[in-house]
Amino acid sequence: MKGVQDAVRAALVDLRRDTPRSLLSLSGVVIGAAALTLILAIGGGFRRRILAEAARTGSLQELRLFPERPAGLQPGDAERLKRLPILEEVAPEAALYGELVRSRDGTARADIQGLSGDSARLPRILRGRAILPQEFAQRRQVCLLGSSRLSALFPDGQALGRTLWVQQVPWTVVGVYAPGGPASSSRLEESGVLLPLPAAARLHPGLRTQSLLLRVLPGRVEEASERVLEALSRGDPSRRAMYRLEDWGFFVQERVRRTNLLTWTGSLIALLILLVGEIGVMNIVLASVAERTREIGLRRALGARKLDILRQFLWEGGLLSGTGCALGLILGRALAESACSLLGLLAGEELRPFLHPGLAALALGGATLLGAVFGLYPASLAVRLSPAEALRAD
Amino acid sequence: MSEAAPLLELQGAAKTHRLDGREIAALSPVSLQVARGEFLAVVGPSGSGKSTLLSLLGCLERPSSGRLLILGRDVSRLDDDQLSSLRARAIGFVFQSFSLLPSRDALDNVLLGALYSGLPAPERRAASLLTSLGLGHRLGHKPSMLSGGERQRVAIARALMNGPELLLADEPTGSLDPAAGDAILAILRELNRLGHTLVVVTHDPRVAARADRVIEMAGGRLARERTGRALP
Repeated sequence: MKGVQDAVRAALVDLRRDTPRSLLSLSGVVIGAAALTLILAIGGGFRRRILAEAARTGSLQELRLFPERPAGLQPGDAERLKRLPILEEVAPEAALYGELVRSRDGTARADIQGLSGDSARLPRILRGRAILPQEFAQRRQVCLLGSSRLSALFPDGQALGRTLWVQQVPWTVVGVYAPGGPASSSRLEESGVLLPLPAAARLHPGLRTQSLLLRVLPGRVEEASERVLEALSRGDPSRRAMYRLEDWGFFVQERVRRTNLLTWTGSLIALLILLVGEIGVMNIVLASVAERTREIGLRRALGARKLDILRQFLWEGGLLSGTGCALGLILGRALAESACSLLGLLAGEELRPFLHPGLAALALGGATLLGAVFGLYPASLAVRLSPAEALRAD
Repeated sequence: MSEAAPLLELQGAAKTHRLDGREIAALSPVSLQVARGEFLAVVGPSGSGKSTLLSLLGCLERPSSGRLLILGRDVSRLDDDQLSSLRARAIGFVFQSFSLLPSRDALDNVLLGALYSGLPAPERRAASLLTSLGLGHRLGHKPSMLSGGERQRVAIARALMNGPELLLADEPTGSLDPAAGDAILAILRELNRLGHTLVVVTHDPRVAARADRVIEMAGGRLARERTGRALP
């Protein structure tokens, strides 16, 4: 432990001996570590956002049931699934794609999606209000308009209380909702118009239930898939082939995997910069060995073994590199903060950098180890001379 | 390891250095005994082989041929780690240039002497050594704030940390003014009186005059030897 303490002090003396030069030589490590931090923090931020979004919309706990035959879902299917305790919610989903929608002032193509009255999942309302339960019950012809279709249909931006026509059927706009749809997992991310399903039966061809959204109790998605198919097959295994289940949590995890892959690819490049930076560390240790040859001789005379000397300079390399990495972490974290603000601004979404403390500790430890590895060559020079030769050096 | 054996014994020990593929003799075969408790001075012009002789005696390098016996035991075949441990335990060095670490204060410089020997509670010993050498009030001073004589006293304290039987000094007064040099010489003599065997390489006739025995080196060989003190 005394040896480590001694090496730390020697390293600090080296850093201070010519601070500008030391910092210059360390800049490679600082920049490499900053780049690594930047990439990890941005990647971590994206990953967090995906998971937070998934948690908010509940899409990690969602299954979608599609019919695998033209006849579609059976009338009793939804009722049968509603009896399964493992499912929190069974919501019918219906959509028409690319439907022509008119107002008095304009027309637009929009995806029409049906809302069921008992759905717990509602779009984010920007203006106006959601559709009320009694409006579902009374089959009122009201609708919600996606903000992405607003300007095409109502150039003056005033949509509330005005009328839309879908297939010649008039609908009164009661609210405007944000893009992203009723759920991020929806395939109608930019869906244009939301209609209450009971009233939408008036459309022709009608807004039929095409799929069922199943919300599963937390953490039991796999079990639920099995239960759902079991319930639907009603004892006849051949019926299973008539349905298809999509696991939306899987898609979320796929997005996380893609983000991770990009993060790791970027980290690899940053790691390369860090490696080049370690040459600077090697340079400092090399200069230190050259300048301290007499001191090495003295230490050998005092009884230091070759290993003691070797260890001293390996520690020095490791500590220098670790110091550079710590500076890089601070710098990279600050850069990530600005980069995320910028990216968030460009994407119109809030993005916060996130660096897992364990990952930061790993980087710090790794850089320290790397510095020691790069100190190996200069350290080997330090023990090449006999003690007598080292003492004779100028 | 008999009591009768001399502390140090060189048997035909020679040292050659290899330079550009040629062998250069730094020291021709020398045979020499140093008794326990002896004060031996080595004199001679620069390049006469005195420092090489001291390096061999201090196990800082191995003889190219011949042997070094310490208390009758051949140490020329010991490996590097064993020699390091021998230096840590049994040999103290004092240099002309003091060889103190400029960034550390007097106490820390002395503590360096115990770093590789694993001495328990070295702080106490270091402080008491410095105090006994008259530097009790200078423990926290950096070498740059000490006079030459004070620096050499710090170096002596460092050499004494592990209580070595053998003290080797290379021109210990070479960088000092006469008064400071005399003070250092007095300390070395006192240490010798306390039982430390002392080998001093020196140009200084006053140092040589106080030795039990003086050997004179010339051209890499032992030229002359005289015993007894020339001056009282």
